[in-house]
Amino acid sequence: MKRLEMALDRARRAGASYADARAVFTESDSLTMKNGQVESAAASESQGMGVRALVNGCWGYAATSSLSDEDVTRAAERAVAVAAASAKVAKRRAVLAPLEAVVARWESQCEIDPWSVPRAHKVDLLREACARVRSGGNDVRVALAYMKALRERKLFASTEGARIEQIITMTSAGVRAVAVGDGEVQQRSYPGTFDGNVRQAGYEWVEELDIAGNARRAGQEAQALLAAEQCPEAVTTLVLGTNQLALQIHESCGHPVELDRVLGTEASFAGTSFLTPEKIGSFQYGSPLVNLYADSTLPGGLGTFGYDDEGVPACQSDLVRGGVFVGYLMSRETASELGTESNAAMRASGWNRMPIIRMTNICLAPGCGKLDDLIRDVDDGVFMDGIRSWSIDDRRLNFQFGCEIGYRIRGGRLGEIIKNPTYTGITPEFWRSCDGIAGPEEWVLWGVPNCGKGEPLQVMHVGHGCSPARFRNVRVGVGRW
Amino acid sequence: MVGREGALEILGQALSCLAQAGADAGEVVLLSERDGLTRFANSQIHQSSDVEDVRLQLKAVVDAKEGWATANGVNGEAMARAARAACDIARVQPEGDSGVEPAEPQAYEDAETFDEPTAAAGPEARADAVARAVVRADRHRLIASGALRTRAMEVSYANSNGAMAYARWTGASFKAVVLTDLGPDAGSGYAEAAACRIGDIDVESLGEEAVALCLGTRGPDDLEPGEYVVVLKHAAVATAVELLAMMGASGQEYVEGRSYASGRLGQRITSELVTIADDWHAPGMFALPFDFQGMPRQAVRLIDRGVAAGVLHDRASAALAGARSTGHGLSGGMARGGHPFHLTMAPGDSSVEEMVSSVKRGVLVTRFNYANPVHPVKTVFTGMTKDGTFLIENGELVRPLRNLRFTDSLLDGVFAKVSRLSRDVQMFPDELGPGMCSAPAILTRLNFTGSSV
Repeated sequence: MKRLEMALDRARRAGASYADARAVFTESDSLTMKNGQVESAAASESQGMGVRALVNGCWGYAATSSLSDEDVTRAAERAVAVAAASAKVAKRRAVLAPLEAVVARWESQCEIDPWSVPRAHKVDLLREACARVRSGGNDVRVALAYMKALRERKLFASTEGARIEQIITMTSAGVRAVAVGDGEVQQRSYPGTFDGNVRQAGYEWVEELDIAGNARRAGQEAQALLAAEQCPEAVTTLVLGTNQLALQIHESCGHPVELDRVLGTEASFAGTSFLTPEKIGSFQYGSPLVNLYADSTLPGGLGTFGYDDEGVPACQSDLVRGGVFVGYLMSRETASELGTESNAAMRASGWNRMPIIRMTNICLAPGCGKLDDLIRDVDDGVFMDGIRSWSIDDRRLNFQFGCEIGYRIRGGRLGEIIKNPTYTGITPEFWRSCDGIAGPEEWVLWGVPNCGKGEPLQVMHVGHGCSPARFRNVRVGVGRW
Repeated sequence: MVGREGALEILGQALSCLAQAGADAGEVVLLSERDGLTRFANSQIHQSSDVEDVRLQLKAVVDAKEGWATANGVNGEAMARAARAACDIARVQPEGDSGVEPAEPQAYEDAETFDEPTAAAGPEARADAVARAVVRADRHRLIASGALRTRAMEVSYANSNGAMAYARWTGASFKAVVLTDLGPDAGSGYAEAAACRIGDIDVESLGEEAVALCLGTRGPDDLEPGEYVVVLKHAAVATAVELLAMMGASGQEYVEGRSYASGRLGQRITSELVTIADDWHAPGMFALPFDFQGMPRQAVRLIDRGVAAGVLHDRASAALAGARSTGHGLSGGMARGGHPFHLTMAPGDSSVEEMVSSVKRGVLVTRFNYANPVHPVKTVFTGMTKDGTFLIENGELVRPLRNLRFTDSLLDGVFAKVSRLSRDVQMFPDELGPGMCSAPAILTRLNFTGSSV
């Protein structure tokens, strides 16, 4: 903290009206096995500090991996210099919404320290999981099993007096089966596509996932997909499993409610948004069943913390209520433009990046009943799950997704497996067609560890919780196969 | 930046740390960079950064097993800690892994693309350049956004067999996206370029190009889905080339049957007009004569006049394939197989104007947005057009179109149906890493499956 204060002092004396500094110490440990052999085994440490300075209403950011007094001071000077240069092309000055500075410490939940578990135990677990994946079928060419632990210790200080320390531990594990045959390649993952599933938790999460116990099924499904019929081209009823629905929420809700996109500051890379401010409180985003919210207090979520990277306390806020669009993800600066307060959405992927508005945990509130109930009300449709491909336009309207696996639904029951399932739609039309959401007993919290945004690129961990849901009149089977 | 002598000293210390920690053999990679980016939106600079970083990647070989550790400190304590971690990881790996021994010393080509003014470019110089681009948009009351980036990078490699290599290079890139407004039918234009030297990027011209496109895209119309003749400009083709590489240029994926080239090397897989390579000698590319395993980086033709000609190997995938490393290995315990940094598609003898003139009815596409693979072996991909999509009728651009979604196959569709390629190529940066891609414009066909609203 002493070095942060040194940096802030230097930034102030160099002319900053506001400055904040973050020092981040990150360690990770990853292990991937393929077909029972080590594919990669690595430990990583990274540390550094970044300073954000506001000079004449313009921002500058500088970061260094060296924490010597000299380099820390120089980073502060560089941040001010960058801000001063930014003033050469400035049309409006940044104004920050007010914030009460706090002195605080926060730590995420962790029962079993992942670093306390012998590596040999992890190797044995993954090797067993690989073997079970391969047992799922003779055409399973690649059996992957992986786990990773990451711990981040972050110190934050601001010229307003904030002094915050946070420690976050994340763990993930999963398997993937890749079956190859006759010019076809099919994959099936457990529990989900992105690193399995990632939680803010310790090794107890790996134990809970039981990847070895579920590995054979992944292999069996990949094998079955090779021989499956191609997903038909149709406009039909679509039921989505939670892994895919999490990504649907991510792309079609989480991103368009980022207020920086709305205000045009991501136009050159991530894009803009169709959810413009005059729509707040009146635009029918989805059916009345649809309630979407941001929650950075959710235990175990990848988007959970005590305070964001501006020192704003974690909170919950509604984004879509009863189908109506009601709120954004905001920073202090963007909240000021709307005359409100930040809801703690400023996050940086590491010490070497300045914070920008990111998702936290963007969740769909559960409805009632089970997945079987959703399917029972479908005479002819498709069930899809597992993430395979994704694409959406720059305003977050026209999307297309591909899933790992699909099933025909006939007469209210799951039928045969179909391969290469895809679906496409326009965001509000899609969500307005939602006529069923399963209940809390089916609600799953997913971690998406690979959300990309910003220039230079930042890859962020975010969370999404949801139960399976049903959508009517959706176009499936896109493209020529 | 540590310099050649400084880098080699650090590498020597790291190898010593590995030996002291009990490694039988070791490899070390040192990466350092200075990355300056001036970002603008709503016609003002809003996010600018200046980052200095160094990363040290250590590989320990213990009892013929390997372990990796990465640190971003180069002091003795950080090195020793990373060395111990790498050895500890290696010791608990299961038996059976092969090919972990470091390479023997190699000979590398002598080349460098380091430009001092680019390395020294600071926030003031970048801001001045951005101002010259933004003023172009201001004249028409348009909204300018984009980024100007300058980078200086160093890579050095050493191993316990005495192999040693050092390279440094600079890079610069500029992108402008110009909008009429933030509404649903906004006009939008784009221009982008990448080079090894900031002096080779004409920011004013790129700004003018983006402005002209923006003005021409106001009030877009709809287009019915279907397959159309298309002129794909250079940026769209660069995206297509990068996606194709993602779908199977790696030797590891080739061996595992997951590549478009699996079982098809030597066979015609697309139009004979298509030649795609990874070649750091191509004009304008940054020089990196070796990979992160100390192997000489070779030029590899992936597709040679429509024939699947090669894949990219690191030492591990080469051993599985019974081939030689092509010098495309990564490090740090990352996935195996070769990775491209210098993709290039061979040009032809036409031009965008000539191609447009030849089209009775079709579409001009400036670039692709959020394009992703849908099926790797079938090379099916999807995405949207962006920043300049026009209907062509009787050889002329007649009106702008709303952005279109496409879903098609690269090898059996877009590249199979190429009939012309431009004689000029343009260079684009890889947004995810240090790589670059050089591509011509092409005349072909593309299957549109939807549109924005």
